Amino acid sequence: MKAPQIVVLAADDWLGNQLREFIADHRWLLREVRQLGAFAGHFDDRRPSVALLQFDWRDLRPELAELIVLLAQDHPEVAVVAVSDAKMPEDHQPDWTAVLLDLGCRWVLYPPLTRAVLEDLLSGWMSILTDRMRWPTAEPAIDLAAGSYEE
Amino acid sequence: MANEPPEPEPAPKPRDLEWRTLFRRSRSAIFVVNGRRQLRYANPAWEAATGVAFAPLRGTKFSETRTSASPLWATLAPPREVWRGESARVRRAAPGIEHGPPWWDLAFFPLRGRGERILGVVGLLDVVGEARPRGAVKLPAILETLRHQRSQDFTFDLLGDSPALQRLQSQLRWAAEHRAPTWLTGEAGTGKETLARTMHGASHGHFSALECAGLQPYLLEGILFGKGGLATIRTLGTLYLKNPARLPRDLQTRVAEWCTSAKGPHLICGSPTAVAESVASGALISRFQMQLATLEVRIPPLRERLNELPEFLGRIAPSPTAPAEDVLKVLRAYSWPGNFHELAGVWHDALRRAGGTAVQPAHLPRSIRERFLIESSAYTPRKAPGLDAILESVERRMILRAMAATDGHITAAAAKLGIFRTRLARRLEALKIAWPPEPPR
Repeated sequence: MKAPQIVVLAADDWLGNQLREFIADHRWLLREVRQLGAFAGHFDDRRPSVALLQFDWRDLRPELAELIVLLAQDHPEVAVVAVSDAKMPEDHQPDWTAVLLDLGCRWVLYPPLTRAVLEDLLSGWMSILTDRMRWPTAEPAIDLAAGSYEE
Repeated sequence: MANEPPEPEPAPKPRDLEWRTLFRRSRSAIFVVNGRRQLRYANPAWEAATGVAFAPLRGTKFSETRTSASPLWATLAPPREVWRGESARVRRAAPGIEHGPPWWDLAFFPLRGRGERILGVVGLLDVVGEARPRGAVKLPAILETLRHQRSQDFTFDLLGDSPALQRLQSQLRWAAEHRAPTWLTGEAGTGKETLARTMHGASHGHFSALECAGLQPYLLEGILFGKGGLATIRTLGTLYLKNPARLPRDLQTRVAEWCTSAKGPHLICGSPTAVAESVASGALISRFQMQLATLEVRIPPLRERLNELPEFLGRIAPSPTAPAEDVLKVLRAYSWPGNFHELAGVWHDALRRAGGTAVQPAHLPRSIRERFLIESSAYTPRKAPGLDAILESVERRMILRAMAATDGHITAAAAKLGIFRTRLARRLEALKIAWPPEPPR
């Protein structure tokens, strides 16, 4: 299994900075992407991945929503976490959570974001994804053919 | 609208009675405006659609401009061209809201008298779309479009055509129609969440899947019952809980209470173990078994469905050409412990390696090809070995390993094997294993 990765799609480096040290401690890969077009290519090699997608609820880009659907459909090894970058009225949050989870996000985060929550969420999802990709294998058998039987 | 006092109702003429009777019985919402732009008549269907009674409004005059009118009259007002003798259709947001839904689709037909004089206007009202709940948030339209498109991908056809799977399909359809809590048992990667989405299908509301294993309890509590959490979503239709036995017991109790209440979502649980087994082991509260697993279904692993491999591959990556038979042979020889997740990964990788051409066995991972070579090798033992032969073989290998590990030192090898040196010597003779040369003193 290849090394797990965290791919961050954000307009600035705030999210990446919050997680850089934590990710390095776990020897995971951190990839920070600014352009939407370059984002999906990071998941071609099928490794356990958490995709952190920053979104602006006041001006959601359609391509971002399409990307969420694409990842949910074709990449079961990727957990998509939507992160709202702007404060949202509390009564808006249930509707956004509902539609984003329905599209295929695994989690939705709203400000205020704390480093502890981000770290717990990442480590939790990474353990889920690595377990999911570690297929059970058969017990090693005694190779009788290598003994007297072949002689 | 000018709030003029209603005119006294004139005595009905025979002709009036005819059209009034016709309109009264109509299921369409109909209203009539006279030539002086006063509301002359509205039928019961109109009252039901608008939510206002007609009698107090009789004779109310429509103003010349819609902007100066109250919301109801601005919405119902016939456009200018109707007063010029042209019929018209318009869609307007229902009164009191800025944008639909609901919308009011209005059709206006001028009533002409002699000399093209407009005697009045007949209006038909049709309410389109359901009102959003109070306080509901207007989300970008693209989200709803994508959600709808995504729901189309999940149909019961995914299950396959064998009699057993057809029976499974009918059970799941029943559970979906009756919103019966369902427990799906199956190995990892067998498609439990896909089935849960299929059951959700075209039903109203949103689908949410929640993984309960591996995440901190406070995170799970937050997304379930915190501010903006799943329990606060009015439109939640189906909740799919993956591994609910991994939830803390207090959260299990709260989930059970929520999902058995009238406002709770349709609960579908997915787990590698049967619900009774989870309860017996103490990992799950018994309420899940008694109330939240009305239907329990076992999803077969991929290795039991290898005859459907071509269909599965077609769904993973639609292709105009079917996979070659030699590729299918290699794929069928493998046991697929990771089920559909593993198959999807392998097939996507193979397609990438093939680079647009047909997938060949060489494009598949080496481990899978090797398994095929072992399975298809011509070697078959002439006779199954007896117990003595097996024990002798195991004994021989263990002695040889011990000798190798101790550089042929008989006493050390015997100690490693847990037997006396003399016994090891006897076994070496019996098994015809050559004595190792004496180590240099």
